[in-house]
Amino acid sequence: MFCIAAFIIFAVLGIFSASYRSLAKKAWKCVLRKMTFRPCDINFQEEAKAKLLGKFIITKPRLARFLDRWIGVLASVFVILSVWSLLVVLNSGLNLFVYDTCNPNNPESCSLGGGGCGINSGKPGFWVSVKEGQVLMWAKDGVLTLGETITMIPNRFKEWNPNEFISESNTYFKPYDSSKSVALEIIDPSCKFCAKLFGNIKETSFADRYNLTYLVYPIPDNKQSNGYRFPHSKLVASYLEAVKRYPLPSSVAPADWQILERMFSGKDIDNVDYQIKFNTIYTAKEAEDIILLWLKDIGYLDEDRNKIQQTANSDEVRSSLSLQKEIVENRIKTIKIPTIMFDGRRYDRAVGPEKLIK
Amino acid sequence: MNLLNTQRKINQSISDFTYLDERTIYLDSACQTLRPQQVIDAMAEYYHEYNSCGGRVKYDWGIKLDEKINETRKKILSFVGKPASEYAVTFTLNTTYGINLVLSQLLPEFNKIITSDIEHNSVFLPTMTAAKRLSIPRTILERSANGSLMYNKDDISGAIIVLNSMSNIDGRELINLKEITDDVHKTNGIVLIDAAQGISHDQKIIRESDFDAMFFSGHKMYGPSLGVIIIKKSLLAALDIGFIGGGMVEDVEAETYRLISDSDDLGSRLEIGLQNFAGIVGLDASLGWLKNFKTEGVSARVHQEKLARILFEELSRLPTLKIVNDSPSPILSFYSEKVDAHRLAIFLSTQNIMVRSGYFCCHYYLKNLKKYPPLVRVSLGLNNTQEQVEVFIKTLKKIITNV
Repeated sequence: MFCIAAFIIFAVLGIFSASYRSLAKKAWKCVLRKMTFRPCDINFQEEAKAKLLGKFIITKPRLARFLDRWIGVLASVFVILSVWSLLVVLNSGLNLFVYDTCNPNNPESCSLGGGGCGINSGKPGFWVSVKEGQVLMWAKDGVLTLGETITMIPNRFKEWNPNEFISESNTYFKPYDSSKSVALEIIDPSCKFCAKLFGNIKETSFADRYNLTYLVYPIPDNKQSNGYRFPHSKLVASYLEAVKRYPLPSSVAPADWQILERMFSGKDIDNVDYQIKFNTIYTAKEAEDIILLWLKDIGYLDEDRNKIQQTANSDEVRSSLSLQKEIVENRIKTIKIPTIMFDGRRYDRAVGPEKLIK
Repeated sequence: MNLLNTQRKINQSISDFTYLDERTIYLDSACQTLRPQQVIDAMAEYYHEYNSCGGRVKYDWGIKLDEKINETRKKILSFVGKPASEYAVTFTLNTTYGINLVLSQLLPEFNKIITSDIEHNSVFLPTMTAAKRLSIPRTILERSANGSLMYNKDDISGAIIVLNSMSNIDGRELINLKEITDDVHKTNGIVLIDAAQGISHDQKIIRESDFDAMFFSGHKMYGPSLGVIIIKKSLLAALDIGFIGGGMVEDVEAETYRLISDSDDLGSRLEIGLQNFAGIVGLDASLGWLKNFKTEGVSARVHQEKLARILFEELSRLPTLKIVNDSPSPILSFYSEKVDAHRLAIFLSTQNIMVRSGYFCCHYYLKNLKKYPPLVRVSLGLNNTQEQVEVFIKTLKKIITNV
């Protein structure tokens, strides 16, 4: 184990200095037990140990004796941690490639991935597992997750066709134009990264070049009392679905897109983003009142608003949301939103303007 | 970290080694001695002022070099007290190469080959191959604790005897060398002496003996890396020269050649190709330096005996240290019951103290015959001072206590 530890250390140091490369080579031979000894020579392991202990033998004899006794154990711990770290790095790299996040269980904890709201798998992390005495379960989940990730690799190279995932109730931001291809986004109205993507889309006039539509997906979270990550995303999603049943006879954007626009970029009289207020301040009643107020602004009469309110709580809407949820979770299998598909590619993040302009 | 050395910088009182770092304690002279400044200067002077080929050119640089080489040969013979009329001096790569060169070219005129149990592999192994080539038996005789070869006259009758004059393990001297040579010559045998260790210790036994050939290295006598053979001209003339090339012949025909026969130049028969001229010049300087060496008013021998005595007495007092030597010597080997020799050598190295560890190429005797664990060897040189020896002892004690 000492030789493996030495190899790891010298191999890393060897990246920066040639003098360590020969030591790394020696350590590697030691690992393979292929070190050839001259009869007068000492083996690499003993030599390296002695050089280390020699630094302390005069000045810190107790430390030297401690190292002499425990260096094998320390080397083992070092190797285990190094191998673990390597596996984590490889796994994270694979996740980054496949999912655009290094941690699929908690996508937002990975700063390397693009911005997005994670769809938490609900699987406990390592320390939580240790606390709950479920380390084996954690390890098993890790292996299963890795297996799942590997099966997802082909998706990274797949040609994604948005038309295959459009919901029956879909609407387009701008009037449909058959000469343009379809772009599909998956959004949660309360997700700030979905708002960011919406801003990028507007900034780049993306919707002028594509038939932009969406799937609404309130991110579920079993730990929350309402079963969703954000307090009112289900409510907003229900109204988005409901208003689609009552289209306005005008040439402006469909009502659901207008609600989204207010959610993503609108500010209240206090100049605070509506999305922030929905997520942090409004009660369910206040949130619904705001949506109803928006509907009035958009042009719905009181009678229509009552109908929309009833429809938002109907089985029809619930069914539609459920169908979209099924598409997102079982067919697209995204773990982070916003997800957007266009030109055969799929992005699981708030894509920047540079990508949207192309 | 070098606690003991950095607290007090050591006075390198041997002024010819002032280029050394003040904290350095070199105790591996049995492997290779350090070079005094004079030797380094002499070699630099050759390269700067008369860098040329010896024995074959007519320009001034070459003539100056030839004079220097001849002077060196004379000095070497003078150093061991042998006459140029009887012995030739020839330069080679090193001691091991010289022994192999002579043994591999001996005619099959001998009935056995004899060596001793305490020989370096440079003697031990070539005697094996020589026995095989000459189809004669090989005998290993024991050396007593005082270094003498234990034999009876029948043992060595008509034999090739190859022995060291001083052991590289514990400095034992071949005190009955004269008796051996006298005895073996009566039965037409020869004595070849490995003087690699003995040459720098002013051995009276070498001067008094009638050896047939003697081998040593410049790098063990404060000179450059270079081998020297002092060989009786009669033996040299009788060798079946098989290694041959430039600088060794008087004339060459299509299928034949005639080796140099001039008695004064007979040494050339073993000098194959162009030689290490800078090395020869440096060796000349080291011989002069060694001959004139004095420190604190005492000779090299007295100085080394004093340091060896301190070393032996102090280390003998350490209960966990097992000393191989029976008596003080500039070469002293030991092992510790508490710490492996290689590890101990590395520990000392971290304190800027350089010693050798292992079996010193004497595996047969140390590892297989005596079953010793790897040893630590301390070998004193003329660069060493009493203060250095004391720092070494103090550091060693500290390490032994701390492990």
